[in-house]
Amino acid sequence: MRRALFWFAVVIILVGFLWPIVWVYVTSLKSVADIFRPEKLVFSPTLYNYRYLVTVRPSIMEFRNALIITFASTALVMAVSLPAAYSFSRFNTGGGHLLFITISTRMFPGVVAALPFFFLFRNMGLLDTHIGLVLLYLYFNMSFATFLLYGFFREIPEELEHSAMVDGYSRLATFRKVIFPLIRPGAAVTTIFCLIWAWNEFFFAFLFTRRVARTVSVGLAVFWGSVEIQWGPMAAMMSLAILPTLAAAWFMQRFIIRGLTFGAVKG
Amino acid sequence: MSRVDAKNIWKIYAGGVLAVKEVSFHCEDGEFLAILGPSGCGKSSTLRMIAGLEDITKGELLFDGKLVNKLSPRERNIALAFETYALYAPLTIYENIAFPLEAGGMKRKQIDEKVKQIADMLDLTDVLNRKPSHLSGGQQQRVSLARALIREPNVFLLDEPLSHMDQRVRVLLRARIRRIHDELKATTIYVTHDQEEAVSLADRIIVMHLGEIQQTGTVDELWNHPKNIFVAGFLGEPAMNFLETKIEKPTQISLTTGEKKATFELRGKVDEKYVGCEAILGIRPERIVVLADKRDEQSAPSLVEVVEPLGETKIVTVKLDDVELKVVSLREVDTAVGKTIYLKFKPEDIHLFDKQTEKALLA
Repeated sequence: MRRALFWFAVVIILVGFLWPIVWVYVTSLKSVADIFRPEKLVFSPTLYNYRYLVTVRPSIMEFRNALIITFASTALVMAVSLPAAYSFSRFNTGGGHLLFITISTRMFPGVVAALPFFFLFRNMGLLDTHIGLVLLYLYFNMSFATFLLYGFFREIPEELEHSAMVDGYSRLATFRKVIFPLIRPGAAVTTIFCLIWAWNEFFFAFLFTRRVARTVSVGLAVFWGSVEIQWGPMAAMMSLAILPTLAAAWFMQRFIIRGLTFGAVKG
Repeated sequence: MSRVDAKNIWKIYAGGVLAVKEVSFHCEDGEFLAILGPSGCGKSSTLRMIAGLEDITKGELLFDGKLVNKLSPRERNIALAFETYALYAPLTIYENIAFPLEAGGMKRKQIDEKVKQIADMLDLTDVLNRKPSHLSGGQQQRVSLARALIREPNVFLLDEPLSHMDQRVRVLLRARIRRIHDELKATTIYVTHDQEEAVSLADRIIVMHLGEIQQTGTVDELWNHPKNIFVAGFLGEPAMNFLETKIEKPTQISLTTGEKKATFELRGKVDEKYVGCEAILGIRPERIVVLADKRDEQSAPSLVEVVEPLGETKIVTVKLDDVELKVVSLREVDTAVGKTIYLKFKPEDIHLFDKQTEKALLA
């Protein structure tokens, strides 16, 4: 009886999570006529919608933009956050205030920052540019990444560094040889969170880009026109857009357990 | 190996927290020196300053007469074994032990030789290929010792290396640490809060409290001539008993119990000016002589409250007026609970301290 209940719950949850994804993939393979006949379970699949993305309304640029912006912003975030978090955790830089200010940028709604940023970016000519979005994502992800990494660094006992320094390593060599191997799972988790967030981000991409730097998430919304909703091509593009995040999630699962429980370095 | 001199060293942390106050001491080449004190007494700060992990706020630190205040830990060539072992989890035991040698850029073959040699000395040969997490606490500590020893450092610093072990392993490792010290003739500074460890290991002991050195000396000096109440009370288990007393003559004190007065002779003379003053009498539990009945004036009656047998001896808690005293007596002495026994303090065992300054009054 308990087992039955357990499996019943599992099925409900799985259906809840998977159904939308299945629906998107199924829809992307349907012809225009079949899309509005959900009762028809057996249909002849077509790649028409995917061809549409290539020929009728090219979307390749949006994918390219999203990739560039996602990876560039994440690389920058890690370049800033790793040393920042390290310094917060070891030297208590800024006496705690600086860390709080860094984290607090995530506490207000993004809309609050949108307007000042918009005017700033307009004056600096950064609207609808890759660098503009990269900077924005750097701003928003940096606080989150610093906070996460700060926690990971804190879990590494300081004695390890002291020991290595006494053993004859400089602080930099100590970081490379002792701290980095231990922070790697945490850094991987943080990186992937940043990648996923940047890839999925819609609000700022929608406000700050028009054509040149438009990303996938904004591109998806374009199918929602004033005359009709192009379900087929939209589903096709969605199918492609979620692939990287699915891959990231799959890659992350082996790290996330270690990354979130790796306080056991003391032994 | 080096000689270490600390001259008037201060450590004041950001925010004005005073951790170490004007500490001066020296450690001879090859000496085993223990810094003993309760937690928060500044002993670890002192050690970390010697290691170079903390800046010295004021004062001078010399290795072999050379000022090392500004040198980094690696330049000081010291070895440090931590309370928490601080092993590198992703590396094997072999790699952990070899770590300091690799920093020095030693040849692979030479490293291999040295690692094997030190592993042999510390019984680690069987576990060289394992990861630290698969080792017991005692083994991990031995690895951390091996890593510290392999470099032939100027000074060997040990920060409570045994505090995470159970009693049996602790006694075992204690003997081993002393043996290694004797074999290598290593200048060793050992920080501990455990007086038993300090007493059993060290040539000399520095007792610290509230950031200051209370007394420096050999075990005998500390034991027989404690300079103040803190040192007297910190060394010894069970701790020294303290009683209020009155100085009658320069060579005589008295205890008032109820209406009766018991007088005790002193081993030396107190300054005339203290005559008539109150003072604190200190006496070690092992040194109190228990008499079954009142034989002379120089004994105080007390009531037996608790008896803790320890095999050949027992700890008896008695009440002398309102003051609880611990007495260590032999098994066969009759100390039934509720019985009145008479305590006799021999002149050579009596310590006397000033009530205000808590300093010793007898040399």
